[in-house]
Amino acid sequence: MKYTAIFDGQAVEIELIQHGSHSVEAAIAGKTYMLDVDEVETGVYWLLWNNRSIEISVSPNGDRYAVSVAGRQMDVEIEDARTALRKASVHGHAGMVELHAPMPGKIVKVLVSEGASVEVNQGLIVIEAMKMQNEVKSPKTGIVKKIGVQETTAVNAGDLLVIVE
Amino acid sequence: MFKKILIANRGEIAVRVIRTCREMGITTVAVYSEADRGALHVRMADEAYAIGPAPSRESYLVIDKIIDVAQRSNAGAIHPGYGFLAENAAFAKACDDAGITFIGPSAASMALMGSKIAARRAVAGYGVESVPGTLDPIHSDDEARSIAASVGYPIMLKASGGGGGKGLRFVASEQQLESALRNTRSEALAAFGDDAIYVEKFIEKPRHIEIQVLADRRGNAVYLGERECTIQRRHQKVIEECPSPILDSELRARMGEAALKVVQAASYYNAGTVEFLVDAQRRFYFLEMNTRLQVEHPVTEMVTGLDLVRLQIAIASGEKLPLRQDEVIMKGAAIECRVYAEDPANNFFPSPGRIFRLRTPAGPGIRDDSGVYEGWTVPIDYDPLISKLAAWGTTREEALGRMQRALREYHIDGIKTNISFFVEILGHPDLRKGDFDTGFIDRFLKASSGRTPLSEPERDLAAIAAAIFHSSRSQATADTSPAGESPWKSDARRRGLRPA
Repeated sequence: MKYTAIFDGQAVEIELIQHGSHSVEAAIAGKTYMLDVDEVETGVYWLLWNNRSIEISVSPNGDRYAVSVAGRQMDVEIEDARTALRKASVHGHAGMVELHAPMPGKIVKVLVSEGASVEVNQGLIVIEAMKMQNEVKSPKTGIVKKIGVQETTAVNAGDLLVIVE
Repeated sequence: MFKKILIANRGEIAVRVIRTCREMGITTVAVYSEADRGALHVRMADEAYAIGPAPSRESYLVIDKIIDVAQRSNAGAIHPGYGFLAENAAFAKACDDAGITFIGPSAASMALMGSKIAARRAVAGYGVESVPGTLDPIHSDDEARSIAASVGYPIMLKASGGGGGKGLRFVASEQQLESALRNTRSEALAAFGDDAIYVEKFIEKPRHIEIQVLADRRGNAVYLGERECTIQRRHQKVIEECPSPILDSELRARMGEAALKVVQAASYYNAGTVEFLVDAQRRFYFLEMNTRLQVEHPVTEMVTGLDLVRLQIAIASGEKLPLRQDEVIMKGAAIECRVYAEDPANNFFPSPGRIFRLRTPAGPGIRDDSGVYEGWTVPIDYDPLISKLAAWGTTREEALGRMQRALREYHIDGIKTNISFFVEILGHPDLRKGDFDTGFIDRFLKASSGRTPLSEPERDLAAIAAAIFHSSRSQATADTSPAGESPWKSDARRRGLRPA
């Protein structure tokens, strides 16, 4: 199977070829890794690569995966043919931006209403979590197409907040 | 000795206090808000009482509710932990009035040290020097201008009622003074209900070093060495260690004696911490006294071998201090990292949520003071501190090595934490040398590339692991796979990790 991995602001092609229940050949950006792989706990992979023992844990985080290796973390987005297609249809035509809650929290204020014109960096919504208020800003100049939340309600990470077109 | 103690707190500190109580054979009473039903401190306590809705103003901060639970449960004493009501003199007095022992200093000592201006005036009477500036709140802009000119710019404006990094403003020159005065006053009024502010000389390249003190109710007091708390972000401590890399026994003794003068000035008893700023010439200035157990007390415990909570309880019950100054022996070095539910890759955004995997470090010299468990949802309503990881070694180098090893063993999935940030900064050469000031983290963040701190093969393998996970979890992939089903999925199912 072929995938696209997006991390550190770049997209990299990955191809996985399974040679048995634990043996994988993985090609990434022109390099090939021959790996022994075991899912030792749910979402925790133990990899053996050139006799190096490496443990990597993967947890889904909205559309992305939080991956940690030896105490350090990296966010990775994985696209296969199917998710790429679905994404294209959800996002609709170019120029429409969906903003999702970056964390669970409480909506303190909705600063705009549907149909309003907004400037780039204009505050749209204020979310409070753990005693800190964070303003979600518009990534572009445009019109507020939809507001997915109400003041004083709780949201989960990934919930749709606003669509700006 | 008390038979039953109520812990008026939550999270890791409530768990910490419960542990010592249990070791002493004392029954524990937890209180909890609606958001903390099922929290670790509630599960661990012998008794638990609900005290209201999630907002702390309606639960953990309501004095009457806490006193009521203490009376209903027949608790003889209340341990306040830190934060919430720990430094609230009205609460200490309410405990007295109800005939319940407050495990801490008197309400009068707390009130005195709670006012920065009164505290500075009191310690000045005992010959303890504060940072040059005003002892009284300034009355006018003109007065501020002339004081600033006499101590010399840059200066700091500080709200009299402030703390925890709030109500502070840096003023580089006289041109900035007028607007800085206006803004600090209005912030102070909004945040603390009091617009009194004072002026202080800004100390360049300061180290933040505090002395742990312990005093009984019969006038005996000792100091238990220092804690180096210079590594801060937004004026909040992040890493603490004991001993400080810049103290020698001579300076430690001088600062310790000064701290004991502060104890005298405040007629202080129980555990307390005297904070000092130390400048580049190793002159030290009194900052404030924290009239409670500190977050970072474990490093002192590891180096002195003492249990501060046990000593607090003993002192509160009227016992004499069990040790003299010459019996305080500091051994080795300890360091603590405050593990927060926050995302270092996203400007330290808070990251509450459900912890679906938790593996904590163990092994030689490691101590993890945690308030969470696997499956627990870290609530959005409180401070994001989830655990304090501490490491001890015979030398500072050994302690640092153990801390880095333990951070690699620490797995928390489901929420973001600052563990990866600690792994990075502990590798910084200046930190390893002990050469830093309170601006260390700001400079570190400015210089960092923002790139994932992984080697190239590690980055590749991380992306590959994510792709494998994606392939095993996505129905789409299994359906279109020529082999029919992903071996990852069948492997996981074989071992009972996934339903069929």
